[in-house]
Amino acid sequence: MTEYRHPLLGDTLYLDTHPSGLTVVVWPMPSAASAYGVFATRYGSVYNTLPTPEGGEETVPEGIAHYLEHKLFESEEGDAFTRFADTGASANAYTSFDKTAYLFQATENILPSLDILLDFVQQPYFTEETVQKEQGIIGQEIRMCEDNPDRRVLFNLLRGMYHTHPVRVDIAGTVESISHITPELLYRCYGRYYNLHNMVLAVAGRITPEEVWDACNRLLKPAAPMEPATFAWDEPENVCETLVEDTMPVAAPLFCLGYKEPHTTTDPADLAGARVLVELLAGKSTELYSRLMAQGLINDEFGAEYWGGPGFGVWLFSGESSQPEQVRDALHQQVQQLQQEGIDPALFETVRRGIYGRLVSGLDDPSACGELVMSHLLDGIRPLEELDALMALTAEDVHRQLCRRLTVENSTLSVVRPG
Amino acid sequence: MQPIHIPLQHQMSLIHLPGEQFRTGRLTGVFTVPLRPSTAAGYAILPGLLSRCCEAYPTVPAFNRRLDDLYGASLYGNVIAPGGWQTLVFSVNFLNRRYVPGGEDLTEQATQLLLDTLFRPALENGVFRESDFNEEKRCLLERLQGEFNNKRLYARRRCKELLCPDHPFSLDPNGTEETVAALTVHQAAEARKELLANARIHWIYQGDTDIDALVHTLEKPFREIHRQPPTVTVDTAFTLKQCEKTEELDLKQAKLVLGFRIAAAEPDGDVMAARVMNALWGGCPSSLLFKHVREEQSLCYYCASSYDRFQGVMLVDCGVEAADADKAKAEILKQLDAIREGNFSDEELEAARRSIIQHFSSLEDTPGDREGWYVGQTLHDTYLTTDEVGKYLLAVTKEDVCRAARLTHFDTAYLLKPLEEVENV
Repeated sequence: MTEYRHPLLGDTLYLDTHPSGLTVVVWPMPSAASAYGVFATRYGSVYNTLPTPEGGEETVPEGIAHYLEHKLFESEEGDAFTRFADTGASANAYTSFDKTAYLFQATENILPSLDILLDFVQQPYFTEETVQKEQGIIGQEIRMCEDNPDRRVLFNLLRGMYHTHPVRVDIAGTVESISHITPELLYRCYGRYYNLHNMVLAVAGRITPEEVWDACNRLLKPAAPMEPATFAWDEPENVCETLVEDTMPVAAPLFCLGYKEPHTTTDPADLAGARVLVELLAGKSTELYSRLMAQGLINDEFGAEYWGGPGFGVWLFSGESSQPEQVRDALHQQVQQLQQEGIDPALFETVRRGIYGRLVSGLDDPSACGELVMSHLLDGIRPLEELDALMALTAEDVHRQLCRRLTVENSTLSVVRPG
Repeated sequence: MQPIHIPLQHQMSLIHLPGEQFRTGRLTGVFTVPLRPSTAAGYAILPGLLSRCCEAYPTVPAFNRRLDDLYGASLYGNVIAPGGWQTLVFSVNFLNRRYVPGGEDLTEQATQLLLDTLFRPALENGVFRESDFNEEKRCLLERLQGEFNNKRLYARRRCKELLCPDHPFSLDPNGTEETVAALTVHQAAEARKELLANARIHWIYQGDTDIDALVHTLEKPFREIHRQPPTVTVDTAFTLKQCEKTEELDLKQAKLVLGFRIAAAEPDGDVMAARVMNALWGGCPSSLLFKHVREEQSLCYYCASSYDRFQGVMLVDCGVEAADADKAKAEILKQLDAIREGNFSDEELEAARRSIIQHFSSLEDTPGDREGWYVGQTLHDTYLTTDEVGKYLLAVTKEDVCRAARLTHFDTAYLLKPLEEVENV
């Protein structure tokens, strides 16, 4: 495997493409107590079509990527959780907008746990009976999500921002949509997206690259070459609604303000710039944050972040407020002011230093390290390239990004009020 | 790695966890006081009030820019309630010198900043500034009110209130909406003085530094304070009352919480057996509740048990269709009976044991998780490493687990259901 020693961290990572087609990265952390392995595919809820034999595309039921994630744990011989129980590893999985990941964390029996991970993800097994059984479980998961006001205010925002892009659809689907999922559809989705050329294995912690490569050699089945799935969503640049309102039994109004990024990006400089910009716009080091707190317009639930994926990018400011429209107006003013006046270089340096420290501080946990490099590789970025890009940024770079990427007019406010 | 327990002057102690394996160093102050309705709010406002600014950096932006200057150091406070005591935790986390350009050691600056927030807060006429106090009071009040938003946590809290009425265990360590709303800036100022004078104080330092210098730094500000910390006792006695309560809200999914009393609590009860029993029952993905309530009967997405070893309480909670609540409750109790009678396999027991041992040992991976591990142990001043606990867990026998289940008694059922006609569970 190719060695890559990160100059700032001093850690050495190992990266290569296995002959089977899988991209593999190993981040040895000899003093860690555990190892974390994540085996992920570039397939999430936004990839909502399958090719048909006739050469067209058909839309699949909402929630199918997540449903497949649940069902992959079952095989003809039994359940992967039962196998992990023998090693004592903590195993789990998740589905997001653009990926599905299967993972374990273990302090003992690390290599047998890695074997189980590589094995069960490559063994799809779906029958009418097993698919039917999951309806009740996922139905309850959906109900649980429906009671979550943070999820409601977020998905209402996405529906207000996006006209047609599937990011506006809840990842789990609905009780109705999942009732249309069949074993045949699951097999077709698996065959289309769970190709090793479309996947990444990242292992971090108490493990060596030789151990991981050996497991890959023993267990990976060669995959036919595939072109990455490309999607062309017919999504306009503008939002569809500027205000979305809803009610739920909550104590105080929740809000999400989203600025729609016109062109999505995986450029590490853009990702690093986004981290800096959300801090410069509304972080605790800003006068804006202080003013909003002093006016009683936000509380310590307030947060800001950027997230993006295939065909979507959202600058998100969220929290609780009795007057969410006033928070929105204040943020709009802040965006415009910084666009007009530029970024204070001294504040930029201070904020950049803080972000650097917080990013590095978060890399003790093998799970954080594994997730970071897996995510970077699925996005086509060299591991830790974002950290390097952060250190190379200038205040002028960040200002240019602010002017290019945020438009006050292209925003949506979502509010969930008590009711 | 063995913690080094260092007694300090002024009735404090320091737990040193040496080693430079982490990318950060961390200093934590653990302050424990009795949890009482009359004083809870005054103490609860302190973590927010003291970690927002201090005399040297008297505004939130200035304080946060200082943290950024220290390469993203984080300084925060929190309040928890182990065993019905109110524990305030103040931490500062800072980058190890290996990752600081120029190799600067941030330990002294970070330590001083934490102590400055405690001893040199931004005051006006001897009390907190009205602007700071009013903001933090509003945030605390809204945080309390916001607990209602998470219906799973809300249902668990309601069950605890019914399970242990009139006992500190059922109190929210953040106070109540009424006591927070009535709180004055003078009461908050008094609470800070009381905390420094009368709390049990433990310090936890993770990293390598000049420990003698650190000891001196920690002891110095307490020289003029006459301290009288309390002796911790936890009342774990109980009388079963078989309470059932149903409430309704505009929800999609019912939340069922069953409360149990277990005659196995710190410091003298067979906590290790109870931990293994909890893992077997509903504390891991191979547990009996996961297997039977979720996978076999498809009744729920989550059905889990949790064990409070300080109070001797277990809670089992799940999200279900309201019509299935009875079925879920019956299955949960059936699985407890199964454990009492030894109707579980050696494989199931070993899977549960492995799961909990590995969960504990993985807490050694981050300073934050290790902090939580040792903060919990300050209540009774017994410090075991995760390895040592692992050895005790390995020694738990099948009969120990059965006995722990026989010491577990059903007491309270709380059902929060979607709006419809109220029925008893």
